[in-house]
Amino acid sequence: MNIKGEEKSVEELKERLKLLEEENDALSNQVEDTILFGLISESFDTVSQPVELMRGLLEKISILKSIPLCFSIHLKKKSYKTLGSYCSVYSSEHGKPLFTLSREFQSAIHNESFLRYKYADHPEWITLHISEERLQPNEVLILSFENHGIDKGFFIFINEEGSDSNFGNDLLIFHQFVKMVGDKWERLDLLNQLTKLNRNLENKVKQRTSELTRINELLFNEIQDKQAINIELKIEKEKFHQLFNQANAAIYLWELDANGKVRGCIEANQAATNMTGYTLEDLSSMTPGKLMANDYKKQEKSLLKDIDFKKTITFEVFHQRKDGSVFPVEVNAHQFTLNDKEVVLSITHDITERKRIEEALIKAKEKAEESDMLKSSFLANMSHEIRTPMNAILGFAEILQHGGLVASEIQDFTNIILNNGVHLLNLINDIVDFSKIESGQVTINKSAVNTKALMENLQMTTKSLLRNYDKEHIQVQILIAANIDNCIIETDEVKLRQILSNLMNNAVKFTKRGTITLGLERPLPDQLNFYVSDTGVGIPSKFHAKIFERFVRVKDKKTFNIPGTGLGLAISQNLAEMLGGQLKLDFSTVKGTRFSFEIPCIETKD
Amino acid sequence: MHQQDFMDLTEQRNTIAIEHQELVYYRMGEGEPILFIHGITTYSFIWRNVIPGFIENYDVITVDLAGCGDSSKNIDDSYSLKNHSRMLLELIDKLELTKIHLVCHDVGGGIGQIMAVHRPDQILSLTLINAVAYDFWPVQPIISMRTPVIRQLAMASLDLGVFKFIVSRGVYNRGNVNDKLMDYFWKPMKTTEGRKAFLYFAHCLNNNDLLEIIDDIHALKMPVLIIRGEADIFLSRKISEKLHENINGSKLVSIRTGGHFIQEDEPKLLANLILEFIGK
Repeated sequence: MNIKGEEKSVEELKERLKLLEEENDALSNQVEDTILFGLISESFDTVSQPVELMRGLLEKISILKSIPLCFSIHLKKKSYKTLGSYCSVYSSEHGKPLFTLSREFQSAIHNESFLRYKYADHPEWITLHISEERLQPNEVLILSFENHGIDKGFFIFINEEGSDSNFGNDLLIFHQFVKMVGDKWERLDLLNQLTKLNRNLENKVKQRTSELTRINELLFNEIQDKQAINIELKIEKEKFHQLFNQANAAIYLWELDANGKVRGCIEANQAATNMTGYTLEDLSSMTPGKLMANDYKKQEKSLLKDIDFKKTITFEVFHQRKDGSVFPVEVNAHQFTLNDKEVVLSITHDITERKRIEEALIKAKEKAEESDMLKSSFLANMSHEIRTPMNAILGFAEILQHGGLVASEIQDFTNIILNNGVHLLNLINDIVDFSKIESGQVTINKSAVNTKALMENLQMTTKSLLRNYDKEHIQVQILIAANIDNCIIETDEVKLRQILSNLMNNAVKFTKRGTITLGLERPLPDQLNFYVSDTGVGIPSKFHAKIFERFVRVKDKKTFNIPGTGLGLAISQNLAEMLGGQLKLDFSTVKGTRFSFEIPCIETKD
Repeated sequence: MHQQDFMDLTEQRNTIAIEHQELVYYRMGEGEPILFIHGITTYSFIWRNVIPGFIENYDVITVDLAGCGDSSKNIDDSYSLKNHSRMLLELIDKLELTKIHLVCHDVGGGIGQIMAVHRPDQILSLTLINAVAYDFWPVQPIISMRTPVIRQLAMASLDLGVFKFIVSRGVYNRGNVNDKLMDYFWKPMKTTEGRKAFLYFAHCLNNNDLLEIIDDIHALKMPVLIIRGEADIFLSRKISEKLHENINGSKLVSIRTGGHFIQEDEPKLLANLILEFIGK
């Protein structure tokens, strides 16, 4: 190989080396761009604001591609908005715009997605506010982008003459950059929208929650209030229930239909069921009329319908229990409206006891009236009884005073005066005795009594009395039972004698023939029984119940002329009671009468 | 002084308005003033392990250059080496420092060279650690043969991983690159302003700033210490060699166990070298 050939091959080799270097450069560029792109992309994963993203990305592309001025705009119909800008040779802190874009420029790029031109070709399109010392613009590169919020966005890159890197022919990195910005911007935009929506939602939830909390609190308070009221109501209800059921009166609540007719009982208390024997279920289908006694005529029952219950009314009726028994009630009824229902409240008192007391009172009153009447008749009798002997005494005493009488006449008249005086004295004694008894002035003086002597003395007195009545034909006998001997009685002898004497006198008065017996028995070891029997006219049975009452005298045609105060038996009964006994009419027929009374006795040891 | 202590130097923290910027600087110790100037990708924190040795005998000043660290990041004015050196000279004037030592790293070395050329009588000594000079920078590709350093820095500003990769390659002992260190490096990159200022700084770097003072540099009369981390893969060894060759009386020290960020690898060794040099 000659020198020329060697030179040629050296040249070829150099040429080849240069090509290889260029290839290497291109490859190296691509590798670098890829690395740089990775760097840019990764470093913005944490950015959250689109504006921050835009500024940051513009700075990075500016630094990495040595482009002194990069900015992005949002092109609108008649204006534009700068989205971000970065100038490596100008302090951004000045706050002044770096550039102004002319209308021509705006129309020129309006429909372009890519534009590249020499700045000097259209210097009027972009006016730079950076001194020429700092920046001498060379080429302008424009790439469009769009995303969710921006329909026409543009990136504008301006490099300068002789800078380390012009745009070159391979603009892949720029396209990738634009795409990345678009994607990231859109993603951020969506994320921010989502965040905003989230925040709105959170706010709404918060607002709603606070509203709910407030309502909840209100409800809670209301519930608490209601609970308190409920407790009060429960207490009130319990109180009412107690009152309702503890009441002695039967309480019914009758529901009325639209016509004012009773539908049935809707409430009744314990007293109602106790009083009637009906259950609540029974009552629910009943009317007040059905409670009324069966012997009310229908007509009477229907009167209930005409009563105006709107006024409180009170009436007395007889109710009939479920078992058929009838009892008197006083009903107090009143109509009113309860929970839109017309009801009649009836309070019913069982007045059986009241009625009984009323009847007893009436009877007592009648008795008092009768007693008053008896007293009046007694006074009338007494005046007659007192005046008759008094007239006799005064009349015969007057005759004796005139003188001129024979001895027998004088004797007769004197006897008459004496007899009448005795009678009058007896009468007055009786009245005094009875008055004493009634006023509680009689005292009992007990001492051991010789019954036999007492009875014999009485026998003598009776015989003497029989002589006075010209009834000497009547026998007076004493009958003493054998078991009397070993006992004594301690009692008031005067009172005992008075009782027996009274009974014997009556026997004398009402007996015309036969025998008067004064007897003594000992039916029980600690009791002696005195009795007086006669064979007299007897007491008609209709008077039996009344003979011990005061001022009662049996007066019929048989006893018409027999004198008496009507106090004897009453006095005797009272005295017998004082001595611990009871005066009884054992029997009384047309064949005779027997009275008896008992006295406590004590057993003696001979 | 430990890393944590440096961040707590709030008492020593000062701000000063220079031109349109507000510079943050830290000042501590007593003695001859010594100003530490950082380079690109770092700020005053890079000196935290170096300065403790100086505080006892020197009036130590560390500064955040405009657009770096906590200083303002206004990019209306250029961040060129010329501008930075002008701002620092104004700082020295305002602090009324008539004589001062300069310790410079990376592009800070370029700034220091311009300052020394402009105020040769005021600068007591000039220490250049892995410094830029001439037109040999930036040279070392990172990812591929063709990727310019600006592009690397651009990527570093955007990605902590890339940044960590660069820092890791900048130290001899990669075990030193922990989360705490990366927090220092990454702090200004957290804001758009910080990133923009950082890249603007890189954008403003121009070889011409240094090429036009080559003769003046070679004629410097003050003591010049040139320190080279042998494991610095970002800047060429030729830079330090050429500087040493052309500056009469300059001293070149090469540290085998130092990378570009030699302050992280050998802070004490570095401090001792400088102390010994400027103490003579």
